[in-house]
Amino acid sequence: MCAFRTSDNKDVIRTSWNLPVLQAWHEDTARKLAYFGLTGPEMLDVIAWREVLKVWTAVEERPRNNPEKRALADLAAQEIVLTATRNDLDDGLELLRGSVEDVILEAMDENGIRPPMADTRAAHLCNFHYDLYNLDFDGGLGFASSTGRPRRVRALEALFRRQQGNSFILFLTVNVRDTLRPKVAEFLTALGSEGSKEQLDWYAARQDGQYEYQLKAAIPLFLRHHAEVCGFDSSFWPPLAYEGHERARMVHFVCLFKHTGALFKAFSSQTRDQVIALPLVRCAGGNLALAHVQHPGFDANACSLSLTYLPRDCHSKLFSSEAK
Amino acid sequence: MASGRKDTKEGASERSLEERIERQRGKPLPLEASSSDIGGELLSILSKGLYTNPLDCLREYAQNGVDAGARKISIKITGDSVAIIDDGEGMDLNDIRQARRVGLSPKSIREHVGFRGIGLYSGFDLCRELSIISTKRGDDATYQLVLKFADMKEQLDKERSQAAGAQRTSLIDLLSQHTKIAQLNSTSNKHGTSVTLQDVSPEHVARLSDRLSVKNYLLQNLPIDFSEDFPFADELRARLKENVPDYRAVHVTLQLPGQPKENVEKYSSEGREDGWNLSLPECHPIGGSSKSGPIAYYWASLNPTRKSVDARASLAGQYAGIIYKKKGFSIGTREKVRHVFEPRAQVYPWFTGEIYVLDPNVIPNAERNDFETSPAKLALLSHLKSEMAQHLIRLAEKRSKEGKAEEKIEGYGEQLDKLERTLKTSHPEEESLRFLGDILALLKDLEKRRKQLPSSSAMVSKAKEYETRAKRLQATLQRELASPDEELKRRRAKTKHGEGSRPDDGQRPAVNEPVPTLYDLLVESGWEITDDIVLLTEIIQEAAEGAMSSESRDYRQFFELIAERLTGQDDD
Repeated sequence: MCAFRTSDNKDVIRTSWNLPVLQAWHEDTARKLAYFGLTGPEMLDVIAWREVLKVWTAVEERPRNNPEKRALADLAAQEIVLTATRNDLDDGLELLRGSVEDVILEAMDENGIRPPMADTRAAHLCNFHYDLYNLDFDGGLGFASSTGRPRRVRALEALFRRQQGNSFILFLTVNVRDTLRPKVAEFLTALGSEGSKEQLDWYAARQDGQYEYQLKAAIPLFLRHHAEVCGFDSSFWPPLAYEGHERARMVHFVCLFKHTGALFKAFSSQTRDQVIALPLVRCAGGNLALAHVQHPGFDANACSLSLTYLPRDCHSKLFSSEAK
Repeated sequence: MASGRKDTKEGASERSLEERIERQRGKPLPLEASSSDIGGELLSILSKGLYTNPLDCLREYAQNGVDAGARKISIKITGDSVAIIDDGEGMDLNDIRQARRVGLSPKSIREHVGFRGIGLYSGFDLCRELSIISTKRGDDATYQLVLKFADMKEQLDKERSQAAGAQRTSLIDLLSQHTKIAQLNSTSNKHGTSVTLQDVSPEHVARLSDRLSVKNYLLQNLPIDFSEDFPFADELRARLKENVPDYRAVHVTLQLPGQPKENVEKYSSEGREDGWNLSLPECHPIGGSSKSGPIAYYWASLNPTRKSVDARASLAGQYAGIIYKKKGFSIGTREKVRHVFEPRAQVYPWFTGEIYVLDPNVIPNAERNDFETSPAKLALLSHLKSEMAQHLIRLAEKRSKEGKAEEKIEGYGEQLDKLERTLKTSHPEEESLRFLGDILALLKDLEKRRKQLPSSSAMVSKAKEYETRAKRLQATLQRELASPDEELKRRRAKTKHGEGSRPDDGQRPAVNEPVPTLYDLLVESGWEITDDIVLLTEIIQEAAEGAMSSESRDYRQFFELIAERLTGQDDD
């Protein structure tokens, strides 16, 4: 989990990028938000966002076959409780033990405890009623194997089924690991047949040192597809690449999924082309800026006009620096 | 020469001992112990023997926080772990190393509750692993100590099943092999200690998740602070801090799986329909001398309604009576002190309070349900009886008199209302005479009851108002008896102008309130009602009703006398 320890970049993302999104959502819904995710021992996210949060379900893994990892995870769990107590956050805290993907898939942790915002139906049927998911996938999206799709990918799909009928925000951070690279490139290439082929082929062709571009393109499209099938109108912020703790390369996604009540499939207001056209943003040294390299045909001016939902200071940082 | 002796350090030591014994045959010699003389099994024996209740672990770890000067202790129970977090002084590296010691503690029996150096191992049978994280006040470093209890148990279990004579792990080796220590990369500078029992078995988690029993256990065993909604919280805190050396009160919160955090407080008004209705507490030292100081300090508060303190509480027996406290934990239950109030033990549940035992020679027994028998304990009991109990009984009796007077005065008010309504209608002369007699008796008693009340009582002015009304009625009746026609004319004039009414014939409105039964009087006086008592009250009630009409004055007076005797009064 050390990739997800805080850093200057993470601090900026937490306060300047994420918090305005949550504040707007809090105003929109006129209520405080229920959080589910990986808080980490210092609970920096929860502490930074506490004014808009109501309850927080923290998940800490519990590795079974690796005593050293188990000891670290137990320590992290203990530190979460300690941090919560010391910061007066313990009242809203529920701590679940197990992998976050298993909790989503099974609707319970390894002790059989259900997430507090899950309804009371059978585990395979129950819905979750969270407003915010904060998922940090250390190790990327998983490993492709002959036995099936990676558990994390299945968990992301399952998330939409669990949340059916309940709008939510997803903050997803992925460690840039090329464990699924061929599959991601294949996915992007195949998507090209539906449009924006030039851009998608460009993303699929990114080589070593630019894998974050493949993730930048693939993950929103993957999420969008599954969200719409479950009746959500999805919208995405520009993906954000940064270096985290010990120079780990990360990509951070901000997504809003609004329940529409559609019977068969929802149709998002943000089009597929608009999602593909989103720029990659870099956060370096605590500063936000458009990445120097963007996909072919990237139009900064058009982008500036379409991204008016960004907080004003973020918008001006991105496009004034681009103007420079 | 012993056979099978190995050429080892142990063997060399054994040879040396043999030689010394041989040289000094017949003379007892000191026999040194070594680390291999104490087996790891000792840990299992001690923890099983001392800590059979999983709640004892909560107590031990929380008590460590209290001994470390904590003001706040949080207890959080999740699916499989128990965390006890305090904001005490915390531990540095040296302290945390010492914490692992068995049977050795830097604490003092005089200052601390925990001093035996075994409490850390109270979770030995409950969890897989105990993890302690601590930051000392003023220190930047945070340390973690991990004791792998499951691994220790597994090793001991394995050795138990081995043949006799097989190698056994010493206590020192067991602890060395299965304890880890680390300095953590913590950014928090808050001092305190967090103890987490990891992988607690489900049956223990279930027991620890019983909210009521956990709360009651904590209230019994930790120096928990008063609830803020207890009316005398601030005053008692101040008095106890001043008079009880090392008085401590901690704020404890408890969070069970899936439930919101709640405060564990003593004298909370939760479950009490009328909140706390108590008189100002009496706070006094007991016994001792100017040189040695008092042997105890108590506070007690009386329920002015002359009923048990728990009469309208959802949990009976929670606060009725007085409890012993020693170093912040309770000794026994509130029933322990009842006998000190004999023979007036029926007033005992009207009080609530605490006795802080200060004499260091009065020592709790191992079960903490009583004190060890000793001259110091007997002296304490003697002083409690002669000082505390006598004083409180007098208070109770005084209040009882006042309470009875207040009730009587209220009753007279209702009586006067009825009389006033009755006198507005026409009635035979013999009734006027009877009414006059009632008024004169009422006036006499009203004055007597008024004088029994403190001048500050609100009922005093009410009593005076009733006396004025009674005197007015007396004057009316006297006029009526002197000149009935004139009085009748006056009354008719009043009726003509809309005052008064004529009752239906045959109806004589009741003047007096119903007479309580003997059973009611015993209940009201706080008697413990057994089956034998019920039978006796039925016999006496039937006999009284057989001998007298329940409408008669004699009947009423018979039960009034009983009522007064029950509350220790003479009705002159």
